[in-house]
Amino acid sequence: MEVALKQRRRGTSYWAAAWRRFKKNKMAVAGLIYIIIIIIISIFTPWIAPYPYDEPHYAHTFEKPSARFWWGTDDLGRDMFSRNLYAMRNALLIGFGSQIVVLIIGVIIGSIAGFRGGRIDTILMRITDIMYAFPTFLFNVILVTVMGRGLFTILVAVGLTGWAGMARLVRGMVMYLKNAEFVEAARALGAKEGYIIRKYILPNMLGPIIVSLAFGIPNGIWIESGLALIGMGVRPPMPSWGNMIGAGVAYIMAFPHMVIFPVLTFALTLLAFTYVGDGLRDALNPRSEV
Amino acid sequence: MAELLRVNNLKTYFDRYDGVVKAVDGISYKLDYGETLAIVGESGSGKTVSVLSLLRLIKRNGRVVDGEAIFEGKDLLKLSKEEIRQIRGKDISIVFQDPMTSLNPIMRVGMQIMEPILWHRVMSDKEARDRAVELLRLVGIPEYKTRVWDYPFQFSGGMRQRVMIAIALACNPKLVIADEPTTALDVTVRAQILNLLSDMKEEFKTSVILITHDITLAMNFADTIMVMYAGKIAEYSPVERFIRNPLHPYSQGLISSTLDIKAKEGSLRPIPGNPPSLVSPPSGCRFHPRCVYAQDICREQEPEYKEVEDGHYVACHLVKGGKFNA
Amino acid sequence: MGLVRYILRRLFTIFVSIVVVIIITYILMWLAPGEFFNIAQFQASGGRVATLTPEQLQVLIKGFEEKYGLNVPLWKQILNYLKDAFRFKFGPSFSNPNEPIEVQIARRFPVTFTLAILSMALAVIVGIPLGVIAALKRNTWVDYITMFFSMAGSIIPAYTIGVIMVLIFSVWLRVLPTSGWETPKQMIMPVICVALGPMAVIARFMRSSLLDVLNQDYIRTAYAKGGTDRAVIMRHALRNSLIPIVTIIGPQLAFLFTGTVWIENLFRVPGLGQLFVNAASMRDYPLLVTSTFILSLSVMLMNLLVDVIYAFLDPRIKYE
Repeated sequence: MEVALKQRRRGTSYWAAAWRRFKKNKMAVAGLIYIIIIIIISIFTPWIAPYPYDEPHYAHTFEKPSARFWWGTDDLGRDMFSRNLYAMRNALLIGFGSQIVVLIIGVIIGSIAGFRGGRIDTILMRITDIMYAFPTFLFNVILVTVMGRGLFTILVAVGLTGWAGMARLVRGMVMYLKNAEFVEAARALGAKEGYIIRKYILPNMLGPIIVSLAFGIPNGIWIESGLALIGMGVRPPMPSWGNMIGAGVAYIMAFPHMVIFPVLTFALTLLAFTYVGDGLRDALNPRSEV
Repeated sequence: MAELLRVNNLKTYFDRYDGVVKAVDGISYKLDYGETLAIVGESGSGKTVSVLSLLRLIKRNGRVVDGEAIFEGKDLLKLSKEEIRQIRGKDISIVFQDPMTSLNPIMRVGMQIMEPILWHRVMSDKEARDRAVELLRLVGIPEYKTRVWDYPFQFSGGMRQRVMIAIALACNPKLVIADEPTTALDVTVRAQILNLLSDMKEEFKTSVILITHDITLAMNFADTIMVMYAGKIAEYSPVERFIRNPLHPYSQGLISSTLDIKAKEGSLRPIPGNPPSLVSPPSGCRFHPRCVYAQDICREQEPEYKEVEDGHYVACHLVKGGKFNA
Repeated sequence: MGLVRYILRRLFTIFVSIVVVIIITYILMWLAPGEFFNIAQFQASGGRVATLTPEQLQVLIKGFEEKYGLNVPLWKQILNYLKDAFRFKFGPSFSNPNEPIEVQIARRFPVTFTLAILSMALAVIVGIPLGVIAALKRNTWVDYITMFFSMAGSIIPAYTIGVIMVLIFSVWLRVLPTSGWETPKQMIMPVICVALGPMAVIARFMRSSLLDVLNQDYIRTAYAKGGTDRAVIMRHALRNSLIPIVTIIGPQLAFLFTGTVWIENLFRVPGLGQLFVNAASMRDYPLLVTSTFILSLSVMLMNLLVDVIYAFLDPRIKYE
């Protein structure tokens, strides 16, 4: 009982210690602040954006940044700033949404494989191995071709191709935790299997899963932009960073502003997420205390 | 016998996040040609650091802050980087504790034996090859002629330690430092390795510093015993005198805590307590919190490290006139 | 020999994986809305579909299905495809009915191959020394700057970096051309762009690998034997720290091959990437399946090659 209690108490102080470690990493904190700001902006985009994303101003095509159009206009005279806000919103939706799909599939497959073991484990892990070796991006293209180019279908497609790593991670941790000493102790005290999973196994798996998700989000954003660049992203006129950059490149010599703003916000967002992921990994990994 | 090494007031500190660790805090001793000195102490007492400091092989966060180490007339601590390199492996060599990790896993053992020979330009490439084979024969590796081109993972732990000894002996060093050479090995092969060290010492006529936490082993193997506690020398004595008359309470504790089958039941007494923090060591005598004889003076004043008999040094307030009075 | 048996077993696994991958791909395409014909009908009819009578259309569809082997059940289509694919015969594509896919690939492959190899070479030649320098000068500004750029290089997509490079070198400085693949000058930016990602990953990995090795006991042994910094680092530290690098070069090569898709698109390089982009945007199913086949096969073979090299470099590995 004492062992079990100690483990749980360590649970709460573990998060406090992790937060302390995270706060020490300046880049990670800066990244987190940036992310929180863009999430808030994204929630209120329809009210914040000065123009609708698809409203053309044919008298003002290819305009450079001005007081009226802060980040200029594109080939149809649409406001670049508004389009960028919507692109950011779409990127976040796909980034977070795809990771929810990854989480669901990865945790289900990983924990079934880990808990059941034996034949089921072998079969599931073989499938995971094939998924892992498969060129993800190609699979994405095929899935999007099949399911269509909606925001939702793209995020599902990104999730469907990205779960292999999560499944492996979860399986590994379940295999370790189900035989860990403090779990054995709880079991010896007569705790039910469901209680053990809820109170012991899940909380201990949370750290690595969060880190994995944190790195998965920029990856999802990245894949969407990659799809958009080859004409497989969200359907125009809905903007995404990928299709804005793709469109801007066509006019790069004459109107560089059309590509600069999407490229910079895109790169900044990816960097922010990765720094937060880095910070989380260092904070949640007890080894980093040494 | 002539003096090979004299260490005066050596201090090695480590910078750590929670402060400065005074791993070795002012120790002085000497070593003669052909002599075997055993440094005994618990883990963290500074015994390994005290010898690695001589060759300046301590980790990056460590530094030698004071002292001198006169080896054949040269102060090792003041030599240039290149000068100390020329001594490492040639005049002074080391057998490390863990033979499993101390050999390069992807280099053939023969090459690893040849390296110090070639690096110090002792002989030609061809001669070095023959020398490597010869050394493997000397340290008792069966089928040494073919084994010399095997990789470390093809050897057992005991065999690897023999290889480490071969490497240490490659350049006929004047001093071999053996840092707990048997701790990582199976109990059954420990005696073999110790015998080999003994034989090699005769064969090569080298001085040896043996670092160990095993006082019995030290008493069997060494000419002189140096007991370290918390970065300082507690007692330094020729081995006969030490066995007959251990003066420091810590030395007495070490001896009585080892299992002696002839001893009466109940006389096996572990030393109570834990080794102290080296960031903020106890006041006065560093051993006083664990010493059953501790008195007020032990808490307040640091004992002087002084010669009580010929060649027998102790740092304890309670030793007076060559006797321990409590 | 253990090695031969190991390779044969791995080749068998690769074969099975590819078969599974192709089956999945076929099923997915079969599930896709619309019939194959609808997608390629414009190419097949030259855009005259609207003017045709239903009978004429039927004939056209039939001819189309026969040409692409779509007139048999799905399982048979898959079987036929696989039988031919492993002999590198892929049949014609929708978008280019007169030329077998293998011919189209053979024409474009050298371009992509050159781009990939040049980039990988650049990534290794620059990435490894960068990682080594960062490790040896750890916690100095050299280290921090190297690692910042390495971080940025590994997460900002090559395409984005390409756009930034075009802005700098073509738009502002006007020193490099924006597109093409004939002169060495045209190759500079594509090669650098494709190389940056793997280079960054290699540098980061090399740094941590070398730092890890430098903390090993056998490095201390080497110094204790009287090795100079140079001797210890070159003979002991580098060789040991390079071994794990080989394992990331495999996945990086796969990554790099995908990366060329966008870079070829951006710089108008006539390689496999453009073929693939067309396949995706025009729903050219035969070409898509074949891209999957080729890419999966090369990635898996590359990983096998890497594992074999790894075993050669590290004497401890046995082919279990």
